[in-house]
Amino acid sequence: MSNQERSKLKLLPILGMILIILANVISAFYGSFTLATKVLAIVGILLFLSLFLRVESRNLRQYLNVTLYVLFVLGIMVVIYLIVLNHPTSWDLTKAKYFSLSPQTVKYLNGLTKPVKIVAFTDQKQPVQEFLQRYARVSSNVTYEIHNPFRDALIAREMDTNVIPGDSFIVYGQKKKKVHGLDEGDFTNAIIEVTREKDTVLYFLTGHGEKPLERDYAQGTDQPDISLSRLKQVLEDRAYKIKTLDLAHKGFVPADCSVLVCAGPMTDLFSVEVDAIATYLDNGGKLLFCLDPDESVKNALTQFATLLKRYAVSIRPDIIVDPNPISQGIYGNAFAPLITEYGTHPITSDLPYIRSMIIVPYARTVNPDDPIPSDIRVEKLLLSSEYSWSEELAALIQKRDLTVPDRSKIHPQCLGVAVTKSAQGSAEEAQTKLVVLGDSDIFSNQLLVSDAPALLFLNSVRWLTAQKDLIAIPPKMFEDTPIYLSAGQAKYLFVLLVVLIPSLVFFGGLSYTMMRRRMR
Amino acid sequence: MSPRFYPVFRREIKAYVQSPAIYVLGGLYFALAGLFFHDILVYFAQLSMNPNMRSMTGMNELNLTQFVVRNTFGLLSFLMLFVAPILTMRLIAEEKKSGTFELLVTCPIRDWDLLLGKFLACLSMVGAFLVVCLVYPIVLEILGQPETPVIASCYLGLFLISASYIAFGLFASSVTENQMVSAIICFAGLLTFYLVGDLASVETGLVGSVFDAVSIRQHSMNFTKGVIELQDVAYFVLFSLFFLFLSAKVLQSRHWRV
Repeated sequence: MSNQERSKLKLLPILGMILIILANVISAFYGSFTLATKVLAIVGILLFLSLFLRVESRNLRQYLNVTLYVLFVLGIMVVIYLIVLNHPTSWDLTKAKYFSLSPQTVKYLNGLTKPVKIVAFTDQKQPVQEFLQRYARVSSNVTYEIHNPFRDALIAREMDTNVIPGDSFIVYGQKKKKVHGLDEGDFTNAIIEVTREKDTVLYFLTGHGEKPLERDYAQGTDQPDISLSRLKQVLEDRAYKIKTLDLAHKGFVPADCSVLVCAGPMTDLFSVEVDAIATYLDNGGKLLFCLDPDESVKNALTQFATLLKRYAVSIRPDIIVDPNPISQGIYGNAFAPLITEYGTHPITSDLPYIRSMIIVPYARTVNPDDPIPSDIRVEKLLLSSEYSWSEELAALIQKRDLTVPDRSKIHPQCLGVAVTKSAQGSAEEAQTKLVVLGDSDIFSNQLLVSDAPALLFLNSVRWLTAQKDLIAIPPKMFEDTPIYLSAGQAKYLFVLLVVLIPSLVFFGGLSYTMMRRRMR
Repeated sequence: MSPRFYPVFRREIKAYVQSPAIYVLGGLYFALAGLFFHDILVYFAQLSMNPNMRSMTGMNELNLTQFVVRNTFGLLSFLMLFVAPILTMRLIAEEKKSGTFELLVTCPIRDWDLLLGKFLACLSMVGAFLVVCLVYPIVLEILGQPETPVIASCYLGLFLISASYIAFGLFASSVTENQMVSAIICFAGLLTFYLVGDLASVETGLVGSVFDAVSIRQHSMNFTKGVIELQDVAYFVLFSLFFLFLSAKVLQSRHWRV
């Protein structure tokens, strides 16, 4: 090789550098790497690497050998990494298992038989990817894509006309559901909705002074908001369809009714309605009654009581008295029983773990009848404190005074039952199921301020509609562990951590080395 | 019978302990780490004691582990980015410059033993740094209730990250005779591996996935959160092995390079 040729070869790394800089400048100008700039950068890197190559033929052969060997080892390492990547294993060491999916989600995902795709739009890829990876790892049927809604505007438009960062779409065949944020409950419930074979429709009975589903904005703000609009929103967020039913006019319960709900009736049922509900229940219907104490002695819910008696549930015209200090502190009277005990039932299984307690203002007793027919199972759900008792409403109005009754009458009062009536060998979906609660106020906007009542309602609906495999996903929260540090403690820590320890290492070490040198 | 790398390991440990540079470096490292830890802790305590400040920052739950431990160990691993080049720059470059490298390679030890001895000696020094850093969890244990398993995860992560930094530093030291050049190559290389994760967050598709897969920061985040992912452990182990292998190839090249 002549000297002229060698000097030309020396220019190659400089040319490489120029190409790398050019590729970066063009990319910065256009805002992303294009195919042309990528090729330019790769060629630049290769030319720059020629700096390290001695062009004598003997060394070139050695360089090639080593390069191939290195690439071979690199390839093996990449394969090992990919194997590990495809067999994800992780240990979440946080106390709250904050970075893992709940067992309920895992169980549901494991049951997926068809592919579900999650298309997420974000400008912060990292947290979204981490979150979606948890779903994809559990089930091979879950895949995900992450796009920037501004850069990938066409893909975003395919999904929806209005997509903002943080939106995700759960796609299952032709069905899709939009979710915003990274809440596990929202994602899992959206997956349940799109993978559900048919819609779950909740019919709310009207015509008996039940609590309205929509808030009446014409009402003054000084009036308590007794509507169920928040509960309706909670249910709709979880993909339930909500409809109203005027049974006296309609005459029958529609065929698409998954659960018939009656929340806070003030007047009794008509006999035609009792017959329609009985027919519905005889055909495996599902019922959720939330019955407040009778408005007055005249308006006793006798037809409701008759209907429920068929299913071994007894309601009486009474009100629960629970003189516990917590309720009295909040409501200023003894008519707000505090739930202290939950029955062993899927509906109440996770309620004791919710941080907020349930106080039920103005509730009636709901008890299993005696005797209970062999084909009916009645289970108690909610029990008030051991200091409570029930008072007959008529007697209470008459005596206008509250006296502590005989000791034998003071015991936990039952506020809710779950009933199952099954023909022998019938499938769970064909069973007649009822949930009867002795109050509806806790589900109204006025009192639906904590998680517990909403969870009680949701769990009831899920149990009734046989979605017991996924009762609820409790919100994951880090434990609140504040610390208190006085000014003196902070100063002491500063001296210890920033002055003392570094000085010990610094001066101690230097003294040691100087001593060694002197000794030498 | 001691392993074959042991003489080199002992020699390097002795060199580190007798060098004033390690104490200067240690003093600076602990001063900075202590300052960061102190500031994070005091800020957390202020948030704990001041509900208005807490609501302004939108922090509903104040978790000592997730706030103080996570941020402190994140910063400790970032500081290691500066410590590793200084610790490793002299490992081979100095030997080459002073001429002791030729003497060393004539000893009856293999290149791998030489590298392993130096690597483990350097890792031991980092280990000693981490032992001193135990004072931070002890302070937290006295003041509050940190989650010990999460701290263990942070330590494992920091140790693996340090091991990969040292392996890269050893490689940088093996390609040059100049210690400064070695430190610059090491720092620039590690910084590239550290920051490439930022590109991963804007690049989608295969390029984004590759950036994601090679990013040191992406793989270190889980440890500080208290999550041990097998893929993260594999990444740091393979990273260390690969650069130790490259260093061995560079050492072996002395036989045929003209």
